[in-house]
Amino acid sequence: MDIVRWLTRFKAVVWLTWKEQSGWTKPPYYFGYIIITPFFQLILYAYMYIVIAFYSGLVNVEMAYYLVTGVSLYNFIGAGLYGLIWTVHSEREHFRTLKYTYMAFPNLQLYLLSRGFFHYITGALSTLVMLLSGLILTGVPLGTLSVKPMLLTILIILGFLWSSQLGIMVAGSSIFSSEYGPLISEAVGGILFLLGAVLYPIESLPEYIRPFADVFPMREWMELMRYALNPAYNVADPNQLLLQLVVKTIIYVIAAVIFFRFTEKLARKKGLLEATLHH
Amino acid sequence: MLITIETRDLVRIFKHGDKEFRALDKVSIQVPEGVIYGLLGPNGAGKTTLIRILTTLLLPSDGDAYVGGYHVVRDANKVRKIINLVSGGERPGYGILTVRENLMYYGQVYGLSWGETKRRIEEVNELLHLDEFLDKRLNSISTGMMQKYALARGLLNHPQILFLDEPTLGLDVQNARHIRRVIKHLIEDKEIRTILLTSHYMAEVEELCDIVSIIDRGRIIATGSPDELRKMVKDEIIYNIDVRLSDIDRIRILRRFRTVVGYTIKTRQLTGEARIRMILSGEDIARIIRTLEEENIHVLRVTRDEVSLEDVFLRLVGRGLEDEYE
Repeated sequence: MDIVRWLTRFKAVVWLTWKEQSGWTKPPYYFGYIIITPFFQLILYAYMYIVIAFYSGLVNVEMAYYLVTGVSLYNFIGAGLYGLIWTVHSEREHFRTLKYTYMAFPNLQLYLLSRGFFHYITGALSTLVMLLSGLILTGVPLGTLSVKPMLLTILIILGFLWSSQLGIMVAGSSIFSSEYGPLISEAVGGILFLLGAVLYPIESLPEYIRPFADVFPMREWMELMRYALNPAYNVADPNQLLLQLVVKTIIYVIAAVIFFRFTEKLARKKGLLEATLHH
Repeated sequence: MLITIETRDLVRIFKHGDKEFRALDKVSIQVPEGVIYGLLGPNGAGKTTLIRILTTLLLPSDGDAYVGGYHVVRDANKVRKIINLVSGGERPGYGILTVRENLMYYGQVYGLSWGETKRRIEEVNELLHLDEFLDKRLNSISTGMMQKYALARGLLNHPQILFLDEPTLGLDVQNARHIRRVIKHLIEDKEIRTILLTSHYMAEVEELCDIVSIIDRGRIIATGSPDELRKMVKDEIIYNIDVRLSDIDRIRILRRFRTVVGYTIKTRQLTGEARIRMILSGEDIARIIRTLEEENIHVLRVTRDEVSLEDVFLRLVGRGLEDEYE
C-alpha cells in the first residue's frame, strides 16, 4: 500500500525533526524551552503596551487584543516557515544528507513539508501559551471571548497550507545560496511581520506599500483568526476575507508546485543538490 | 547480455563565468548485468560527475543515459527506486542519532516498514559486522566505521544497481580490505545485480572489477577486462628504478630516451627514496642506468615488473594516475 509507505516516511521524518530539534534534552525540558522562549518575547510586547497605557492613561482592550493575537499567531506561521526553509541548509551544509534524502524520498517537496510539520506543531503550542498568558497579562477579559471552532480549524489548515507553500518556494530559492539560505527565511519572516497585520493594521502603512501586503495571505488569515477567536472583533466582511484567503491559498499551492519543480530542475542542472561550502 | 547502465555520447559542461569546463566529453559506456564495472582515473577525470548524472543528482548537458532501462532525466524517479549511492571520504548523516537510528530512519524513508527495516539492519549487520558501533552516536565513530555505515545505508533498500564512488577513500588497509571483500561478496551472492565503482586506486580496480573503463579529462580512453587492458602494453617492458629522494629533480633526463614511453614517480618520505616506474618500448635499461649514474643519480635498485593497470593508464595518457594535471 503506497499510502502506508507514505505515512511511514512521514512518521520517520517527523521523528527525525523532533530528534534534531530536541537534541540531547528530554521531552519535558524541550517543551519547557519552546514555551518559555516565546513567552519572554510576549512579555516584551506586553510590557510595551502596559508602559504606553500607563503613561498615556489610556487602557485600550481592543489594542491589547490586537497586539497579543498578532504576536502569538505570528509565532505559528514564523516557526513553521523558518523550520521548513532551514531544512535545505541544514541537510545540505550541516548533515550532508540532502543528496541521499533526494534519492531516497520520492518527492523533495513533500519531504520538506514533512520536515516543516513538526515546527508547525511546536509553533502552535507556543502560540497557545502566548495567547492565553498574553491576554491575561494585558487585561483582556477572557470571559468575553467566544471561539468559533469550525472557522478556527479551517483557518489553522489554511494557515499551514499557504505558509508552508510559501516556505517551499523560499526553500526552492535557498538551494541556490549556501551561506544565505537561512537569512532568506528570516527576511521572508520579517516581511510577513511587517506587512501581515501583526502589530498594526495594513491601513496604517503608506499607501504605496499596501499592494505588497496584498501579495501575502497573511493579513486575511490574521484578521480572520482574530475574528474566529472573538466574533466581537470588528472585521468588515468575514466571508469576503475567507474567500480571498482560500483563493490566495490555492494560488500559493499551485505556484509552489510549479516553482519548486523549476528550482529542483535548475539545481540538478547546476549540480547544487550536494554543493557545500565545506564548513 | 543484459545492459543495466548505458550512456550515449554523454556530455557535461560546467560554466564558471565566461569559462567552460568540459567534465564529460561524449562518454559512452555499456555496463552488463552481474558485473562490477570500474571507472579508473585520476582526480578530476570525470568519474564522480558521471556517477552524479547516473544517480540523477546532476543533469547532463548533452547525450543520454539509462539506468535499469530508465532514462536518468525523463524517468528520474524510477531510476532512484532501483539504485543507491555510497560515496567515500564523506561523513553524511545525523550525528546526534546512533548508527542504528540513522539506519532505521533511512530504511523507512526508502519505503520499508519499521519491522522490515529492523530485519534489514540485522541482515546488513551480518554482512558488515556493525555490532561494535551500531548503538554509538554517528558523530563519535571512526572513518572506517563511517564507511561501513555508509555501505549499510546503501544496501538498505535492496538496490538492483549500486554506485560506489571511491568507496575506500581515506580508509586504513584493514578497513579497505574488508570493504572490498564485502563488495565482491555482494555480486557473488547476487545481493546486488550490478555495481559501478569509481576509484583512483589501481589495485582496488584490478582486484574487484570485471570490466574497467579508463577515464581521463572527461573521456573514456579504453575499456575492457583488466587482462585485456594489460595486453595493451604487451610489447613494452616495465622497470622499477629506486633512487634517492634528493636526486628526484634530475629525473627529467629520462625524457631524452625515445624508448621511454612514460614514467611515474612515487616518493617514500620515510626511507628517503623514490621509485620510478618506467615503461620502455625496447630493452634499453643498461644505457638508461649508465646515463643516470653519469648524471650523479644514485641508482639503488632496478627490478623488472609485471604490467599493471597503472601502466596501461601511463601508456595511454602519458602520465600516472596520481600525477596532478599540469
